[in-house]
Amino acid sequence: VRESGTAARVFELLDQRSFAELSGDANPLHVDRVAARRSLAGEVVVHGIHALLWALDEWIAEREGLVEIERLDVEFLRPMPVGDCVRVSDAGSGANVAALEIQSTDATLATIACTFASASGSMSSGVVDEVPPVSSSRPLAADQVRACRGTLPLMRPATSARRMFPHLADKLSARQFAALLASTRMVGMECPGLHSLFSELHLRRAQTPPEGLTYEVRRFDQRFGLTTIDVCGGDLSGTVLAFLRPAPQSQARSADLRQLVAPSEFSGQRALVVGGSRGLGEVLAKLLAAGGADVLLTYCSGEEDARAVVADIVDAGGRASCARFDVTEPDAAPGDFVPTHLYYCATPFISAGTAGTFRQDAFERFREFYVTGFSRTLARFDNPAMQGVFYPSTVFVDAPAPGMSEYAAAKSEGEAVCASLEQQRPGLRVVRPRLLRLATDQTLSVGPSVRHDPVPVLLAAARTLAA
Amino acid sequence: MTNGLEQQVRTVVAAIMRLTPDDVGADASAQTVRGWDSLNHLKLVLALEEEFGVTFTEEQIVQMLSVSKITSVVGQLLSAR
Repeated sequence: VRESGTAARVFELLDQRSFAELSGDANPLHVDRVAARRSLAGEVVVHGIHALLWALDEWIAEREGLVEIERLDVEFLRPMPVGDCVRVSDAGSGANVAALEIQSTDATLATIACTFASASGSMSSGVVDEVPPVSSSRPLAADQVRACRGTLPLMRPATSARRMFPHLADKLSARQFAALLASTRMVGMECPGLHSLFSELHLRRAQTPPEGLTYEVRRFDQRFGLTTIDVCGGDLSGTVLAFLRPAPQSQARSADLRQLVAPSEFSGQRALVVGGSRGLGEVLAKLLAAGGADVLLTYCSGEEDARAVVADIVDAGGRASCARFDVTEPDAAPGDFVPTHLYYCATPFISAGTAGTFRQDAFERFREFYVTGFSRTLARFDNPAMQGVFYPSTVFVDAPAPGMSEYAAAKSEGEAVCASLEQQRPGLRVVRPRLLRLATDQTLSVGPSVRHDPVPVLLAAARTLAA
Repeated sequence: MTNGLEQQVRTVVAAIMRLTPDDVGADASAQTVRGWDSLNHLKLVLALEEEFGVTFTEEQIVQMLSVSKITSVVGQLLSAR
């Protein structure tokens, strides 16, 4: 949708895949829902350069003539989720200067300042008119990132470029267009690679060698994984800032957890662990199985993760199986397992909001899992043999944290469901601890943060429930 | 000295959070300032390091969630020079 000075759109997964093919940046963060759910962003997010090229394409649509970028400064402020409506607004553009902001309904996601100069031709020499070869993102560690350097060919498949960005493909220097595509390929696939997050781009027009986009890490700040990369190619020279973000949070192995648990302390339990493919549910499943419980862990989309947890438990001598169960679709509950204990760890991505605002849509999403989904799961699995229910609440109910009010409010309602359950079912033990920030995918951060080991916390809760 | 330092801190906080210095009071914190999320906190830390020529430890970084705490930490680092 385009109006005067502003345009809006929704980036869909299909658009993302097209851009991945065009640019060669097929980082799972941008194209793979299952993998992206374990990232810092918690969901598939739009390539920053994809959003940039769209914004510039909109800006240049009503302007005439061939252009080159004289200078370009871009900051990607927040991840841009696929499926959300975003808007590009003019923030004081001039005749040759695009000053733009990309915004969601409640936040600025990116700022762009781009100065153009007239160009005399299409400037396509040295640019390969082909899609980049398919490859995998490099999973680099900090020491490897620190020493990273290389050269990427300038590639701009003309047909795809024209289909996705028709105005820019016709008017912007092909070499510079290709250099921008190479920059996202560098960040997402090469350096920092698999666990990257594109943060800033600062480029100036320059005379550059013809062989492609060369890059070299100039500075690496270990505290944040902040990587400063010098880039040069396609008549542009400057700096890219990207984060080496943390990898998905791995949890303790069953073989190690067996040292902490008596072999029969949970024997006789038929434990249903809802949301057991990772995080708190994964740790609980392993602890319970180490103590002799018969575990059924459920997953919503992470079948591969769930099977890996089961294999880890079985390899260590425990009993476990897994089944798909989406708590938002209660009719699809797994078959004939009759639990004695329910451990309810289902959760959506816990996105933090902005201090001082309350996002009704986020609250409803949390509520769907922590209240409605919990109630439905209870209704589906309750039986005369049920002895205990574990419901992880949050310390944010007691101590509000910025941007977490929707989450805390939904957890608080879930606690009320627990209280009601206890009243209706004397003899049923319900444990609902208000947990600190524990080390899971949900609490990953680019900077230093305080996170606690989930093992002792969950083992204590499981023992309370079993007592 | 402290007031001058605090004013400098408030100016840096405002620049990173895209606010005017008047929007960032002496009692401002991550609890009250719109946009003070984890990514902006990181940018704030880097901007403060550049502004004052100091380097924060990871322990200090996780504590620096208000103007008063930042002022206190920066003040300590500057006087330890």
